[in-house]
Amino acid sequence: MLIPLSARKIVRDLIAMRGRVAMMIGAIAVSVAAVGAVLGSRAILEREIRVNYISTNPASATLHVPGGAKADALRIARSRPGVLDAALRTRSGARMVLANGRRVPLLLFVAPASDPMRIAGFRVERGHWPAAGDELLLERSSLAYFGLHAGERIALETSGARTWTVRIAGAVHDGAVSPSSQEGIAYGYATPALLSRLGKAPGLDELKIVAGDANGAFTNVRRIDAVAQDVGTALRARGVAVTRIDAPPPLRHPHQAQMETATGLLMTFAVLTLLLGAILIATMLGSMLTQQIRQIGVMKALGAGDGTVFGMYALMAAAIAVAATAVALVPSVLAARYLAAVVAGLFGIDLTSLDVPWSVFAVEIAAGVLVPVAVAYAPLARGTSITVREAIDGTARSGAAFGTLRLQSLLGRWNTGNRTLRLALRNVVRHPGRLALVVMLLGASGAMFVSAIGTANGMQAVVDEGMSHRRYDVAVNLSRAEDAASVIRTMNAVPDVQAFETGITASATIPHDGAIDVTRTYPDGGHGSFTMTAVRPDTAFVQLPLTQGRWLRGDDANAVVFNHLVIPQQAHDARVGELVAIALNGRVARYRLVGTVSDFGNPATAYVTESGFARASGEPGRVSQIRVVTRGHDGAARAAAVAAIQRRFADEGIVLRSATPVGQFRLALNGHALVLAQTLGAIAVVMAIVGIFGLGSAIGSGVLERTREFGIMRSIGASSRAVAAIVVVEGLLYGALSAVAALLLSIPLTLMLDRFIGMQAFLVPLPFVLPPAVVAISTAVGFAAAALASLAGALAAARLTIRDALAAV
Amino acid sequence: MAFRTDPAPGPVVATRGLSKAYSSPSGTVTALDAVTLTIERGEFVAVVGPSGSGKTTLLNVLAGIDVPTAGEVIVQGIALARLGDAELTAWRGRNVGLVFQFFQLLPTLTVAENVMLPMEFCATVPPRERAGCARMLLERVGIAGQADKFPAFLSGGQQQRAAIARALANDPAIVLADEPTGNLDSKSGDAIRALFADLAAAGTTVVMVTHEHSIARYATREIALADGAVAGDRVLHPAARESAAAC
Repeated sequence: MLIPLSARKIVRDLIAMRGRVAMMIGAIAVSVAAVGAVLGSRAILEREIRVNYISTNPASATLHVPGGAKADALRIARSRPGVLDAALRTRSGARMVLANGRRVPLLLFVAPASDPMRIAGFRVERGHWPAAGDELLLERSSLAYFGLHAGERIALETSGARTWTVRIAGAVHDGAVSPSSQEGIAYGYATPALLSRLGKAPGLDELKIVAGDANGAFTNVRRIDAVAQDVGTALRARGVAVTRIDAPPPLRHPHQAQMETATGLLMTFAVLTLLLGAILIATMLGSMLTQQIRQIGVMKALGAGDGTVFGMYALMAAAIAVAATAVALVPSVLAARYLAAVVAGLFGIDLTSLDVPWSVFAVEIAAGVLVPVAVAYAPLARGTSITVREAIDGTARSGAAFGTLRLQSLLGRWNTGNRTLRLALRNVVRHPGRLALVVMLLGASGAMFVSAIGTANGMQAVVDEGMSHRRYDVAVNLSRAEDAASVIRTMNAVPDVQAFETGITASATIPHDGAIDVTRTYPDGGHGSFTMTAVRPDTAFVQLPLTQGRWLRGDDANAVVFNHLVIPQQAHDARVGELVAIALNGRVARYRLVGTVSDFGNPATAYVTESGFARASGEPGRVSQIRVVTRGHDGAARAAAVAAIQRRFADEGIVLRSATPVGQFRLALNGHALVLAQTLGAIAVVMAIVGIFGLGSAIGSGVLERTREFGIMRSIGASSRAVAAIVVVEGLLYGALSAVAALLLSIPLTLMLDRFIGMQAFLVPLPFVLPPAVVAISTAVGFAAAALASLAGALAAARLTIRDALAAV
Repeated sequence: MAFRTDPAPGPVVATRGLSKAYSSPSGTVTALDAVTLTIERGEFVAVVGPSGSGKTTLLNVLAGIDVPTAGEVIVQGIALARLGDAELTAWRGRNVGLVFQFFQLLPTLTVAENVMLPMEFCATVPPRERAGCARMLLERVGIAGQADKFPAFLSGGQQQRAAIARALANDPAIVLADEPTGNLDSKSGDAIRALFADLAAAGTTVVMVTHEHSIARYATREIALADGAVAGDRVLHPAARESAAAC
């Protein structure tokens, strides 16, 4: 087969420039692999998160039936139109006492032994279901996180010092809950027999329904709400009390937004990396064309038209892009699988398949081939459209004479000081277009590096800020509202307590006229929940930054302050200054929304005064929450205080739901931010690699272009070391200019990322944090990378013999 | 576009009032000043003159590489000013053979491939016949044994012979050579000049810019330029010129 000479030339040119071509392929391959890895992992995770979550057949809605419902209610629910299935369950809280004495909250999901577990199910991985009356199964993430094992016995506390020993009968995987490592709580699965054993009422007060039709479960929240309201109305008509409906976002895992943010973020950066890689190709091809100007001129003189020459070099760009994409394919699949496995581990998802869909390969190949070629179009068109005369006499090669630009002229007047620095500086500004491109490339990758670290710091700052608002050591929640006087009396008797403050909190809803109250709370009772909390207006225990309006005042019986989650999640139409209706257990009260606060770490919460709370609850003088400041503030002091509080309240017969040192909140908050911080860290590394490739290739091209110059320098007495020093200093100058560009770019980029990630993941913009240390370290890393990247070029320049250098044309 | 122009009656090259001026930081430079000349088929014209006299500019204008500021160039009956860029490229590939001082062989193509390249660009020879044509041309210039080597492995004289073979690839009516012996030793230079003389004797018009005094032994005519104008135009071998005119 006859291969056209033009193609042969391109192939041999590529081989001749193998070092730089390898660098280009490397840079593009890294970015294409990043795109492929993100696309692949996203595809795997989206598929698997649905498989995991949907495999549990999550309830579309849960109707709360206080006191417990009977089989009759189940039959009524199943008979209503739009109900595919229904089940009766309950949830309960307890505390597990670990071997080291630490108490951790346990959320017990309770189903009757006769329940076929068609709704809100789980997969038993060890042991068997149903568990015996003195047994429970634990979610596997709980076993792993708290260091427990199937078969061992563990103490459970339901109030104060009252403990029961139960056996961990096995492990289950529940695809509908967030892992214990992220929430800091344990999930247990048991039958009502265990509740009876723990002294709790065994009634099943949650009616779960799956709403749908012949096509399957509904995914439209309005249709689900309509079916749930219909079931609730039918139950009420038969005298069954229904106080609330929980209808979480359909078929979405509680942490789906976090996962989507993480992969969306990765995707954004991967595409940017690809663009940077493509710019790198364009820069290098432009530089290579400059070297081949005479060859282009000769080919044109021999009859090659602009189109022919452009086609040859476009073929070269395409060959590089195709090779890079081919190199990237296998690593991208491996990286996609690894990334998916890591994220799946963080979210507690089982990966049933690691197959990357073909569509991902198609997109990856298209992006890997087309983007670099498209970006290279302009420099190729410019480089190949030169005239024969420009090519032959070298005017196109050398560009405008040095000194014609003002900056060059100014530098030309600088005649004192270090000669190497002067020479390097003049070389750097020799081709202003290329300088701009290189600084743009390096500056952009540096900015992304800095912004990634800055945003990760922003996330940490959110956690810190969330913690800084909690100016207490232990949070105590009672299992039900108690008389304030007796709680205060009990607390006064607890040793080592410096101060405490009582409050009350309860699950709330935004009522709709004539309808049963609906929340978007998930079955774990935490994600998507909405609570009303009474606080002292002058509280020193909780200081939440105002984002709008004002905080509560002492005489505010009708005022409410929403935290940042309420309006986006619960009360979309609410505006500061307007009236809003809030219901507690079906009792509706109207409040004027006087302000909003930022409150990271808490669910959607409406803050009111105690008198304001009583208007909705109808029960003044009750408390269910205590915030405690202990005398010591370390872990041991807090743990001792927790133990003392538990003993004291047990003695008084007051049942605690939880007594939690604030350090545990930090663990949970960190758990939520960890995924995104790790994601940004990975991005920063990829950006740094592309940046180093970029600088290395720019320096390498510059050395090749100036081969003759180096020969002349050597011939007039410059040592190899002096030549190499000029190249290294050029690299450092590129690094310095890029560092300035990176710093300037990183500010708006970090702000943008802070807003995007914060709003996506936490519904609050992240604070802008760009510590000087980060900037300093990033700049130092940039300089080190610049020196490293210029080293190869410097060595190449130093190795040139005078004869070879002067022979270069 | 078929720009393979058949030999037309009359001169191969005719210029009338050809001028070319360049702008430079130091002002306008007149490289050619109202040059009028004709060159017949089979002539071997040596263009001589001091540096800056306009020799290379004249060659560039004849090749359509440079556009004159004023005047007209007609090669093989075609007025170059009437051709667009693409037409000019196609015309040049088929009708003009260019030889440069520094050979300008493409380093990643073998000698034979360099020779075949113009055939491919201009599609003048069927693909399967190109290798044979290239070998024939290399034999003609005396380096057939080097056909499969890369240019870097050839001596300067051999590279220039390869460049001449490449210039002849599309059997051009005119070969324009810009100081083709300027980078060669005297022996190689003489061999190249003799080669050009043979080409001219075979009917190819050769215009060669040179500084070499020994050209008088080979060329049939010498045009001397000074400050862009024709300062002298003499026949060196009248017999040869007459025989060229008779071709």
